[in-house]
Amino acid sequence: MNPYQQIIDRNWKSATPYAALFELTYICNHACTFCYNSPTGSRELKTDQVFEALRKIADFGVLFLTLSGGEPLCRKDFFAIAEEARRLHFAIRIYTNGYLIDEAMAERLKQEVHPFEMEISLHGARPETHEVLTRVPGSFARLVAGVSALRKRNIKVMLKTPITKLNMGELREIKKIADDLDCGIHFDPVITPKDDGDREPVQMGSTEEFMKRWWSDEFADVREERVPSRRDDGEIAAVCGTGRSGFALDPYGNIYPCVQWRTKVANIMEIPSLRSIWRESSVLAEVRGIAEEIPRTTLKNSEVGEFTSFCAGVAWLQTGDPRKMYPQAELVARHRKRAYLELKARADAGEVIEGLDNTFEKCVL
Amino acid sequence: MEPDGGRPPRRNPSAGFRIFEGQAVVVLPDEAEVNVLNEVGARVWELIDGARSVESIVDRICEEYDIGREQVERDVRELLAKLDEHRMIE
Repeated sequence: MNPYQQIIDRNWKSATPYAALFELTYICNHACTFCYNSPTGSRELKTDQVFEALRKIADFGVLFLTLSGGEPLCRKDFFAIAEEARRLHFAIRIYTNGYLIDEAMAERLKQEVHPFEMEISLHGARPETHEVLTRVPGSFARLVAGVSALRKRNIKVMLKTPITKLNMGELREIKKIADDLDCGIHFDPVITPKDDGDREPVQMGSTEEFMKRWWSDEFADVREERVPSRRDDGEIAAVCGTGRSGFALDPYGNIYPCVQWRTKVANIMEIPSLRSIWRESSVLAEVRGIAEEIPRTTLKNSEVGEFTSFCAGVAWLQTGDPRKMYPQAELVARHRKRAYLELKARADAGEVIEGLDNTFEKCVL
Repeated sequence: MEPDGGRPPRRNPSAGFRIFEGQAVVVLPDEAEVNVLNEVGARVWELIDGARSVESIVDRICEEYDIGREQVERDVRELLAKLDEHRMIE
């Protein structure tokens, strides 16, 4: 284990957070059909309040700060906020739809923000697919131009593609776009419900038949992983880093255990410091306890547990119980396990399959 | 080593960092790198502010740690050379 991993491991075990996700606004220039945001209509934090929140997050020792939304670049004070985040020495990641990024914006991001990564959602390989979901004409071309402008300046870009019924026939082309733009790409087979529990977006998820193909050798090159990885909960003893390695804030200053688990811990404007609530919060204590319990119960008792990418927040939204296996996680895990067993059978028959015995993954936020 | 002919060393302005239990974790966006500095290295990193000279940094380390000046001077200069090599300072 290298020194960085040792520090992360230590923080993980002691539930000392090193990452925060801050939704700066729910305002957005897209109208994505499966957006999970659920604005309440409350007043969003003003610039000076965001600064105060950032100072409290920095004082608490958090290193990685993700600026998200809505669309964070829609805030008129975005660069002032980013400058304050830079002054506080955060390592900054930005989640954006890329619509506002032209050459001038990319240059400002490079010179003034220094993000270590930009994450941008790409919903299709063609304008007609991407824009059915974003519902903004021209958004595909602007995204591609924006990513190109960022890459020209050596800003790391990770594209994110939730797999849907609409784009499941274009994933290979999407991968090619990412490769041509010299970006990373992450395909997500799970579509989450909205934060208010509305399950309508889940209907957009790809079909079971496609999931079977997705986890087969046919798409190994697109996944960049031939052998589906298995969980290793032996060392980490918690299903994920919710309320442990990080936390999330909404545009009103409410603090949550993570972006998916929307049980309010406190409002950052109403507390003297994050330190004052982190160990004492009954919400966080419960969330950590459940996250530790899930590997020993839900996953251990499931036939597909070791192949399950489990999100307690999504489980809670989908079933009302954060410990309960939810249909999408079970579906994906079933096909991952099937693919793994097929490869194992081929290996047993003499075929050389690299990586079959070394497929454990750690879940780090 | 004193970067740029005697000018006080300055942290790379793009670096994000925090001190975790005495160790510094430094993220360099342009290099896509995360570097870790041990306790003394982390203290030197904190003292690099673009205003303090190398001599002044050595003075502070000598005050704070029970290490001979000669060794501190050698170690600080070696560290600064490494930081410069990794573009962590300028």
